[in-house]
Amino acid sequence: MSAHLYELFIAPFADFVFMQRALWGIIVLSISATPVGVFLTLRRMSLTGDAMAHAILPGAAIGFLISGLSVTAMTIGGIVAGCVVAVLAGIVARHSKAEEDSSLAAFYLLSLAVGVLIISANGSNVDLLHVLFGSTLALNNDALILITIIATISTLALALLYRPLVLECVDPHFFKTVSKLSSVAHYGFLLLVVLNLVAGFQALGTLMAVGLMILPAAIARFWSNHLGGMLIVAFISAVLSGYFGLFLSYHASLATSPAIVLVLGLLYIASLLFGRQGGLLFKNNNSL
Amino acid sequence: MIKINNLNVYYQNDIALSNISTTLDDGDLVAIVGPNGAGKSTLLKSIMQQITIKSGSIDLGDLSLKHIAYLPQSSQIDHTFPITVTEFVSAGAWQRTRFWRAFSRQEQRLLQQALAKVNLVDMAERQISQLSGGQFQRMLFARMLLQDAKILLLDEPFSAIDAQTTALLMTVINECQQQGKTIIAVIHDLALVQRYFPSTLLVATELIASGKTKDVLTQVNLVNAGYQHFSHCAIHNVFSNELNNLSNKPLNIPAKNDIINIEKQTS
Repeated sequence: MSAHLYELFIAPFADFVFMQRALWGIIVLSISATPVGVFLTLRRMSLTGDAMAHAILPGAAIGFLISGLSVTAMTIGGIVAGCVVAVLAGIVARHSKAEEDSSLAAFYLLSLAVGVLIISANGSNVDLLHVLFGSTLALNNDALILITIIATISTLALALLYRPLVLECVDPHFFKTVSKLSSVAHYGFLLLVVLNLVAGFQALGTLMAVGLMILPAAIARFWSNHLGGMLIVAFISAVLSGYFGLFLSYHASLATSPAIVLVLGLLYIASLLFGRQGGLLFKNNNSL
Repeated sequence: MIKINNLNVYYQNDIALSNISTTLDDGDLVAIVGPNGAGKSTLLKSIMQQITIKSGSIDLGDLSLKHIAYLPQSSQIDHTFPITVTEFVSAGAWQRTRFWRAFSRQEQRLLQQALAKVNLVDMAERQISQLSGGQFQRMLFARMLLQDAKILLLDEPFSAIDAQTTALLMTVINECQQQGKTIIAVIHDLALVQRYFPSTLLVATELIASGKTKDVLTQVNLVNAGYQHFSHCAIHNVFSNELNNLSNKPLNIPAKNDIINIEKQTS
């Protein structure tokens, strides 16, 4: 029995290096991306995260155009494109009558179209699929090192920005009166979003990277009403989903990144129903 | 001393404050009153340099912005953010802890004192989303006390709270004044101003009147500031003994609910 369980749950990760690399990538990403996701949802910017994820595509595509499937070139392109779109959307929102969300949507649709056009005109469908949906099981050393470096920088930066970010979220007017770090917190945070999305797209693709950010945060909201608790729940749910997503992908031959996001989705639905902080069934029990 | 000299503030092309000049002494307890859109909050934000002023100046004397504590309107705060009362109030120590320093025992003690002053010790570990309107306002006061600033700017500190909480918070304000702090508060309830605030600035984009509250809150000034129901009430001889004439005498202003009742009766 235990041998069978070992074969089912442990062996794929013990026997195959590509599974170990994939799991390492997901765990490292979970450490840095989930806290950023928690702050994104608390600031009611989940859709901004989604829009930014699309926005990095043309940058990655230009990197691809120059150097093929080079991790460094695509990463630098992605970071530049993500930052440009975030700043442009902010400027348009401040200097025109358009709301920030509509200008962000306009920019990301434009970016997505440009990115897909560049890759489909200069590469194969396989290349396009790689950029859009990632290739978790094909993470090489370069990609893993890059993900780890970005995750380390992001986690350290978030630790430094933690207090300003909390104040910027809860009471921005007060924060502006006691500190000049308000803009630093806002734009620094957007930069962290871009960095994590760029790190995430190596493993999960541009379309799925945001899933590892937003879904764990959305799950955590149903289990904890404290920021520290939310950060822990979000991290655990991301790691669990990463493990079971890879497990499903290995045994059922499913595409990896959609499998991971699907497990996260199932956890979200379970939390929506049974979560003790506002879950639907929990609410009903209370009202009975 | 806060010296405001010929202050003009615009929001794009709309004038928000016009030619405001006044001087507030150290230890003053001043109410800023005026109808909606009169520029009261804008005046506070101008003092804090949160908005760009078109012309004029604000001189804080020996003090600087770090000596100002601001109590924002409750509606501007995210009540759903998952932090406790203690965590929220601890932000008052920002000038001393910044974003890197640990919260020392001394700060812990000051925080407990601030919570005790507003009767919130029992709720220290409660989530801010679980607080009532009055409790939330007391928490804002605790954070302001922890700032230990020389100038306190309060934006509508008593809106939507009961009389008991108002009395408690007024005690806190009076203690601060006795310590020599300058307190400037935007207040909507004129009865409250008349009862608790010795000095008043009456603003309606421009400065209608300033000085002792009893000299500022006259019928003429209030009607000039755009408080239409005071001219309405004059006709019905509710606040003034002088029929059909606007009076320069101090008004006996009833509480908000009474005004609403009077307006119902007269309509």
